[in-house]
Amino acid sequence: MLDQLFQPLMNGLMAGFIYVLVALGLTLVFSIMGIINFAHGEIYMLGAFVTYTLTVSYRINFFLSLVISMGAMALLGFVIERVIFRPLRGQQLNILVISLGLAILLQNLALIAWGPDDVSIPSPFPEAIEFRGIALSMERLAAVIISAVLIIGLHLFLQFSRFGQAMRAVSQDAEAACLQGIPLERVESLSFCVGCVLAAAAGSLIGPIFFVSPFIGTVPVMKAFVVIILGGLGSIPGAVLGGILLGLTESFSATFVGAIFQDMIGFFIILLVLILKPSGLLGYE
Amino acid sequence: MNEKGLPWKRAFTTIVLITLFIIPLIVRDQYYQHLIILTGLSIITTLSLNLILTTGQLSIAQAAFMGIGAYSSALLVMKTGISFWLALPISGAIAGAVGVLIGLPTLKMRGVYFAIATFAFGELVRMIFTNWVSLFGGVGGILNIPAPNPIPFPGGDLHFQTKGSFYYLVLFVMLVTIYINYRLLSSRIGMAFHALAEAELLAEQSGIPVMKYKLLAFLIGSFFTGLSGCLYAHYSHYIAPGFFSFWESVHFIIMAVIGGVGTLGGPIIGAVFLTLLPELIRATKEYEMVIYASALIAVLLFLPKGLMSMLRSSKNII
Repeated sequence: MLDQLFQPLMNGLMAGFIYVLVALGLTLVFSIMGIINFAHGEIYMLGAFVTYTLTVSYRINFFLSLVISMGAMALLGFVIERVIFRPLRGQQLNILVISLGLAILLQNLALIAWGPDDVSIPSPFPEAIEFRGIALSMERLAAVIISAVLIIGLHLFLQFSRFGQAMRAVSQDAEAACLQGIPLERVESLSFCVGCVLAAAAGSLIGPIFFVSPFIGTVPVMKAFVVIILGGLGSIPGAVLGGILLGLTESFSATFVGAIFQDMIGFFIILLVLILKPSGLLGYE
Repeated sequence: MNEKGLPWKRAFTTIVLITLFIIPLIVRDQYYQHLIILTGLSIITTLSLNLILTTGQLSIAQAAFMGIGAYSSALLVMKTGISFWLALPISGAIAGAVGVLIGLPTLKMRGVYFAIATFAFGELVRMIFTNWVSLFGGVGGILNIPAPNPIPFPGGDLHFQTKGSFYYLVLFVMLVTIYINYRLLSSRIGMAFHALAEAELLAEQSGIPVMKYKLLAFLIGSFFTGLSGCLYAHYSHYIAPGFFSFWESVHFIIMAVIGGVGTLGGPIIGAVFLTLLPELIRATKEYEMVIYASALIAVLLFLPKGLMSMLRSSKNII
């Protein structure tokens, strides 16, 4: 019985933490810049591919590759924000559409660079450990732990660093923050980069467990929408709670109800939350 | 639009209409006829979406409404055996009714919230098509959808089996769509639509019934999108859930925005431009989509009001 509950719990937690990482970037960028970036999933995909190339072609250690990939995506995020999003500031519809165009562009560039086939990042922990008769995959455990460390790191950064405090100030009231001398554009740029770093980490962590292809970016970004709507758009604790809730709900419904409901349940949640309580579980209006 | 411009406008419209009527006689190539039909269907859908966009609401569910029209009509014709000519308006009405049902709770939301709600609705519809296998045929979809029934006519029935003849059916529905959009956008209601997008609160203060007008735009938009879905089903004889996915909805949004939201000519130009662009750059093979996406980004960066603004700045044509 315990075994039956433990597997979905572990899978749900892992999926949940990955959703959280992707959703945090989206919700952070929304709370500061007021935009929804549909190309966020492609950053996740490119992050996974960079890690794949570094570990497979250059035989670099997985963890070092992970860090390099996060750095590379921070740089890409910086360029994207500067070249594409900043000139369109204030034009909500056009920003949504340009991010869709960007998603198509990045997806097809990846298709040219890496081809359409599924590849896999070699696992840093191929073995499983046994705990009281329950098999526990080390790579899944590692994904959960590293995600948790990154989420706590983001929390500490936002709470205590000067830039983190500036970001919170801008998300509360951009105009007032400006009047206090906070450099708005630099804060926006930084928040975008932080979002890309988290997405790259998510993609790289999921790479050894599932597979990497140019098309893997769409699903996590859709799940991330569910997560941020569930938790409250722009709310960081909401994204963490929402991600873990969604991961567990999906995993348990797949085990006990049926796999077809696993994907549908998220979209039901979006519609229900938006209609009944648009501010989400932990959001404020 | 001054009085002097009017005769020119009338002449321009007449020339365009005549050209549209003789296109299948000039373009005999089957593949190009196919492309032209697809362009026509895209114009119907993009204009419908444009109406919703004009009120300031971004709907990411247009492909889902196309799917609702396509599946309703295919099932009505194949399971109950009614004529295509009855199924066409019914499928539009079903799409419109679903539009009202989903619009009532969601149109209160604005901006990103509405966009995400319609996105979730669209995905849900696609998953219902995929997973309700006994009714919708699952991932494989519905095969062998019949062509429209022939119309009895003195001197021989009118058939719609060839691409050249189906073109006239699409043309008819497209012209009706354009006409209704034209009348609507240039009426007081159309101006109210624009006002809703510019400043909803102010519009409400001036006595514009906000919810009623948003619902009206959504209803008309869903109805015509449903018609285009129905036409597509009976044209290609085959539909599957994959045809009505999120990325298809995105495609229509891109067409409307590239052309210029809120105008009549913009979505038409956008639909034509983006259907023909992949053909022009087909030789570039794997770079095709890269060029397509780059063109889209470039237009948005340098012509934020769409291709239509380029024409507008030179002359006030449409």
